[in-house]
Amino acid sequence: MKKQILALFLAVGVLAGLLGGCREATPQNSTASSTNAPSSQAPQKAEIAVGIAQDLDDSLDPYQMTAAGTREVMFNVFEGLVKPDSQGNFVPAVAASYTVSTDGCTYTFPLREGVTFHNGKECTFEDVLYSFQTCAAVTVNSSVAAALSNVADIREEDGGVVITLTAPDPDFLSMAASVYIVPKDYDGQATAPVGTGPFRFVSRSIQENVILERFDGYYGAKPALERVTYRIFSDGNALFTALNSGALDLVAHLTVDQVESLTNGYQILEGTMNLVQAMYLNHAKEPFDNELVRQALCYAVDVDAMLALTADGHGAKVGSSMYPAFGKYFDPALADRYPHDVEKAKTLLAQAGYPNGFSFTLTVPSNYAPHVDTATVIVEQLKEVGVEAKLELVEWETWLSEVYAGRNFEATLVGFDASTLTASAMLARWVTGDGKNMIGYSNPDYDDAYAAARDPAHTEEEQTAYYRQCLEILSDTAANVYLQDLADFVAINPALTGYAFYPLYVMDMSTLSFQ
Amino acid sequence: MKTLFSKLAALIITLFLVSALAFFAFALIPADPATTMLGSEATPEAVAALRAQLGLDRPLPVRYFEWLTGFLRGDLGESYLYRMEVGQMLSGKLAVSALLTMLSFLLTVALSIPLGVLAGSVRNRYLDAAAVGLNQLVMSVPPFFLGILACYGLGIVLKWFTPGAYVSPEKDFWGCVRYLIFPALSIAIPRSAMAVKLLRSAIRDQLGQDYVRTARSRGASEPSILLRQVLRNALLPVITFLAVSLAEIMTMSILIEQVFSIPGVGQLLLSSVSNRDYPVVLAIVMLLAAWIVTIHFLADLLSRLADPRVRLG
Repeated sequence: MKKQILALFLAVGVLAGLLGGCREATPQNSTASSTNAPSSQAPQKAEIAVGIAQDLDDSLDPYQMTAAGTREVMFNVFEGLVKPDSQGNFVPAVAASYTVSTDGCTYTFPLREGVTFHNGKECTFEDVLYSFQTCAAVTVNSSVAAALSNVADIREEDGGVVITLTAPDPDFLSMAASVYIVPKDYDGQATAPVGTGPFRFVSRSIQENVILERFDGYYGAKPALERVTYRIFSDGNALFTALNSGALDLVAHLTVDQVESLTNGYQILEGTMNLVQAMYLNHAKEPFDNELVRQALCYAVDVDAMLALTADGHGAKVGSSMYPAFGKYFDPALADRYPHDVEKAKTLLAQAGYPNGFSFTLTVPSNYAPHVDTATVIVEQLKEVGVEAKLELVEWETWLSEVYAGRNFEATLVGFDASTLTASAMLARWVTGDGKNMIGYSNPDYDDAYAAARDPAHTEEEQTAYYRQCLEILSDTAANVYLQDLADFVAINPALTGYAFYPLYVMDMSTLSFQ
Repeated sequence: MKTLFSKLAALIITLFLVSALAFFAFALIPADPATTMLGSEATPEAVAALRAQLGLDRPLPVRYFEWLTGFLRGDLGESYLYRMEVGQMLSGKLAVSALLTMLSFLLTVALSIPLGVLAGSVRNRYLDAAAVGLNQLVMSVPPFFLGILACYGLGIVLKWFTPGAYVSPEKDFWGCVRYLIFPALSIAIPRSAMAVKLLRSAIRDQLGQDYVRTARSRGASEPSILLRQVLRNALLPVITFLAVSLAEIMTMSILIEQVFSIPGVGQLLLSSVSNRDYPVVLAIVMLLAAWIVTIHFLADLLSRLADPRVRLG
């Protein structure tokens, strides 16, 4: 009997302990439900939490940051003389306006009055000069470095900046947008960045969050949001759980599967990722040096079926190295240049000397599920024409060093995006011998067309036509098996409005507001 | 005393070997910080320049020697990626991981001792079999899986907490503790199941001893025998087990941090490994190794002190 009493006593003790633990957790409860039903409650403070999948784990110095995820956030902090808008145009930022001389060699940027840095200092010509010089000296972006080496002189004139180029550069404006203007005599950019943007950097807590606050001294329209906390989730499932539980107001770059399993009633916006996903083929390796083989692969692959299987049909076919948001250059006709045709693929393979097909290794970075899903479907589709692709998954870092830098691969499936808003950001890499030409593509016609597109003697229309010709050549010679620009889903708290998709990999917080 | 010194020496040699192993193992895995940092915009020239800037173009033994001398001076170096002092980066993370470890440990103790005594004193054959079976089941559930269940069941369905809504201890200490209770439970439940198993069999063992029969014949009450005499003897092996648990809990929290998105040492370790941020990885590996080796050393010492049969040197 006494034993039972003892047992009962102990059991009650344990239970009480457990319940105590739970009761302690109750206050959390109320916050959980209030964030969970945001529309039912007027927000007291204009604060939002944005979930991001990768830490801002590089230098925050505007000329040193490399990760797309870092640039995506810091877009709100830094500005150049001009900056891109959501339509892909360049609008004046630190400069009040701009004019280009008729020979295309002189750019005049009158400085805007009353532009101050986040540290309270006024922005002057000296700061602009310092920014251009520092950027030219230290930038890690090779295309910006190349563009700035073309600058002959920067001088002050009537309170404005006059930049003279050695040779005209049709992309100079977009390069100027990449030269973020920073204060002279400030050396803390790597960890405490200071710019002129609508938001100022407050703090970074490693792998926890990055906090931005509205910059009240901003010259332009003040953002509606007072504070944006980017919360970092290195695990995709944890990010999704946090989104679904209502702990986050905004998460971008979701997949169709995630969107479909979301149950918290958030609004879903669909855009595109602005990248070109393709099966990139190493032209230095047999049989991909043979154009007929590459064309056969293009016919063998059924992009529509792949989109239907992997993303319920979301995503846009590309057909060449340009994504649809770049309307000026994108040619929708190229997307259907190689309709699905198994017989034609077999005939071409036979002509190329591979009547029984061949086998190769398809190396794919494992960190990004959509690429892996696409690759899995492609492997099955290729079997129909007797081509045996062996899927090899590698870590992203291994992919960068072995496949990208080492060029030690047969075929790979990834997406390339544009680091600046220019056609050359997508197309320079396929010029013979370019440092970024990982597939070793070499085509004299392409090189000529690209050089013509870059030739300042041509008008803008002619240049555009040459860029489009470049895209056609890539498509005709089946440089790669071009697939799609992935759908980009954004889940957003229904009380928030004003989200804008950009043709670049950025997220603009200044346009968001609570209803 | 002699054993103590030789054990201390072994401890230091172990740490030294761990550091060398960790350093040179990284030379064997593909990818390096420069290509990782520059991404798909990299050109061969930019990669070479960055490698030179980070000092990666120098021979491995030289770099190891530099790191080792710095480490002995207390200088952990600078993170390649964050461009911050590693020591500064770690201090905040350590507080979080230490808090999680302590909570898990306290919960393990709080759960295992009462439940162990309960399990040890149950006389009903069927109840005992059921308890042993349940215990076995709980013991074999990995903490990260329990964590996923907790996030879904307690978080999304019951809304006891919001998964992902972590607050840092500097900002709101009790809010942080409240959040950490759930990951700590995920670690503590399987851990305490092991301790319960140990305690149950130790109590069973002691209950069969002569002194218990003597006590009963003197008319001592069953609870008093159990709590005053049996438990004291039965706890000895359990204490050693719990002490060693402190080391294991720290390593388990690495996975649990991932599940609950807690920005502790574990998350930093995982991301630094994939980013090839060697200075950070080495610092954390050394820290974990030192923790584990020290805990084992102390547990050994503790069991020697507690049990006069295991004499010290």
